[in-house]
Amino acid sequence: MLRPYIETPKDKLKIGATIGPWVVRERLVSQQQVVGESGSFFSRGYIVENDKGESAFLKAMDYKTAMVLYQHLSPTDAMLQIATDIAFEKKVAMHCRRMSRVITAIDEHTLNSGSLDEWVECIIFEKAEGHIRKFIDFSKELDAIFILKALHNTCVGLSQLHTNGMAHEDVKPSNVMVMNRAEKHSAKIGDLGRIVVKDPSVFGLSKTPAHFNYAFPGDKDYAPPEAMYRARLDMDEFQHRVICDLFQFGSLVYFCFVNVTMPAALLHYTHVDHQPANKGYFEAIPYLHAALNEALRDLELASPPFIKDELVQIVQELCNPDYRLRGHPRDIRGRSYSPSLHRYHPILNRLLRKTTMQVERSA
Amino acid sequence: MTMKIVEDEDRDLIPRWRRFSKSIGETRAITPPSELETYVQVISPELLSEWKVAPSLTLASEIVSSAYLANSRQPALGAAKMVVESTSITGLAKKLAKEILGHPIEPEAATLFEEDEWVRQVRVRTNRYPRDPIAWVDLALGYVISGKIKHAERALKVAISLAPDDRFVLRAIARFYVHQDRSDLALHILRKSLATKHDPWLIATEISVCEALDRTSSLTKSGRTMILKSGLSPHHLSELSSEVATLEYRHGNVRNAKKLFKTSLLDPTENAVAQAGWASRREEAFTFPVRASATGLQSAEALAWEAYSDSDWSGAGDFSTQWFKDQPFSVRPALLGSCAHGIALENYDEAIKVCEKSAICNPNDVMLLNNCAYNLAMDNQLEKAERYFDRISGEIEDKEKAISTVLIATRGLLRIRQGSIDIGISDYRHSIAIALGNRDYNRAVMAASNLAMELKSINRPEEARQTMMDTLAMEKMLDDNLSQLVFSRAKKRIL
Repeated sequence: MLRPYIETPKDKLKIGATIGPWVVRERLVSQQQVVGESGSFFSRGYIVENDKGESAFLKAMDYKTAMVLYQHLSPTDAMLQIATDIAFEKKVAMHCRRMSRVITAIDEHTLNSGSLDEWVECIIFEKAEGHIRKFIDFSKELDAIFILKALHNTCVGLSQLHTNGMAHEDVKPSNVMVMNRAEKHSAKIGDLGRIVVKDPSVFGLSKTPAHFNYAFPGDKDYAPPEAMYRARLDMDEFQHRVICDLFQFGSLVYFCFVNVTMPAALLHYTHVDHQPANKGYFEAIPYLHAALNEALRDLELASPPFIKDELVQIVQELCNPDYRLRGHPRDIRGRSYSPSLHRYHPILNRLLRKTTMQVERSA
Repeated sequence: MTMKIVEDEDRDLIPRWRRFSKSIGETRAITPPSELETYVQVISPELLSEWKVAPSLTLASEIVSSAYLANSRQPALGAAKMVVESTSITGLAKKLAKEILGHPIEPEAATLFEEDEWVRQVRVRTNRYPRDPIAWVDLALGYVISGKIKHAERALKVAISLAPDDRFVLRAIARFYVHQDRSDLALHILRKSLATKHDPWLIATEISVCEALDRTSSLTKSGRTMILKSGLSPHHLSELSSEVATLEYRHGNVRNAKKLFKTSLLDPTENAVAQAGWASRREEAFTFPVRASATGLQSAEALAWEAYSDSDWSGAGDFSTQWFKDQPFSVRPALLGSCAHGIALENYDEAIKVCEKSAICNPNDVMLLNNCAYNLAMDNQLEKAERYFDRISGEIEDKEKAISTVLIATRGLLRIRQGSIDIGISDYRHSIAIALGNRDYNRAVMAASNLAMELKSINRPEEARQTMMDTLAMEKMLDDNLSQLVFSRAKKRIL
């Protein structure tokens, strides 16, 4: 059930109000929020503009909304936790500024008038045109070039995060931001609110953000099977978080062509006796493999014929239901187990070129 | 001990091996997870709020996925409707949307596939995703049915390397090696798996493989304890109870065996019903409601034997064909079926079909080759019959007496039909003599009746009559339904 929405300070920035060099131009309603929002209604989006006429996206967060999330804590602890969460997101956003395929934070401000309840924390990000879902039009012929380009960019963005000791944890269509479709087809990975870092001390916080304690902090609709089965894993925690990103990226590839998320496809093809309510994760793995095999058949049917084998290969490696085997075979073979998305950049690039040539040829 | 024409052989709970889609009931978890709450409980509010303002087909398909995960239909009806009505979305997305709307689900075409097509489909599955152990087991089954034993073994080795502790895989591999007379390998693999000690299904398999090897299982004791104290559901304990009951029965402990067989029938598997049926045909003290369970679970094996002992020949034929379709690599349904169709119903076409198909994966089974030759000869396909008969290895006379009785009689039939009448008659007489020397009146009468029918067909009615007259004295010694049928039929046609 949807909770009735009650406006809080983050929703009340006035049009024309000035925040540092930025002027608020537009308040976004939920469906228009280009960056931000992971379903928690923790933030509100605005379009702002500076004196050079450059537009940007402002993500406003406040303490009042966040308090609802921590009702189980004492008011002091809740406040401390909220402050940590917000400070973390701000620091992460600023930390990622040099990453070319990650939505970049340009600026940050705190509107600290009145009591803490009234404070609004603002992060200003570069503005995207919208998320990928807005641009994939299933009712028209599949725009494979656009999709592959966006997937390639997302893959690079996630690798940039991983290389810097960060796991995104919330890869899904609404978090893939299309930057300038008309000219470059470029995309970036956005919404860094669920990021988990390998070494929190880098950010100099006395406390870790609340979502660090979750086995899987991202949107449950896109969770990997080990999270759905609530498995206890025998693996370095951060490494597993990177592996979750791998699954989610594979699921994104799958969704772009099949129009179904991978968790839903796996559930559909898994017999009820082998679903989470009736079987443990490790016992269910052979049957999840069988389910993935069926799901891959749908991908085969839905993909452009000239790249279907490669797409099936990518998805079967990235969505391997056994988290210990997820990733490129060269990364998981032998002693140096180090799953990553690096090896998929050239593969996606090759698919993009192949598709472009094919489209040009048929044109 | 009487000797039946179709041997109801000694039987253990060697697992059935069927396509995965027909074996799902045997793969349930023994102890389901305590956490029953579904992981995704509601459709993503973010998606729903966006749907209210700007519905689109892409968003609709994402909502459908979310609703499917949350098992929540109502809020997703609009989105599902849009997906179903769209002409550009096909396949899985549409299927999920239809489920949400409660539309009837079309049956999977795969279930209608013929065997060859099914094997082709399974091969596509292993090619597409070689990490799928279930597909490898299915492929191995397809190979076994086509007689490609080495291919099957290779496929099973891949499956076991991918899922060394999975019950479905382990039971299939055990069944395969027992069928190949390599039960020691089956035992080795079972004992190597960590799952075997804790899983009643695998303990039952281990004990039955030990029995096939004439060895004592070290798991029998823990199996007994599991039946008594584990508190597991009767279905999980069905095969284990049945196998331990079989052990008790073999050791003469009928009372305990009876109790355990009853436990095995509380929520039985088809195999346990067949085992109880086998036991009740052997021991009068065992009076189980086998027929009801067999009908409910479609245990074609149990029903085929019931029909055989009731002299319901068309029932025996039909159920043995069903049993053969269920376990096409097993020789036992083919032996029973070929006798019911061929000898009893004189439907040689059907008998030949079953025999030839079974001979693909049982190329060296002596009685099967004999039945092939017999039915083909009766159908006057003599060259083919001869070819099957020649495949029987070793000296016919050196085999077990009951077997050599049958083989020599079949050779006699072939000789007579090929025109070597005197040699054929002498083979028949030799066969009758061996049977009588063995006090095997059923087979002696069967051979005599067949000889008489052959003599009649080559216009030697007097000799045929005389042969029947000589056999009349043995009539009261008959205790097998099939030999009684053949004898009375021959009497009617000749005397």
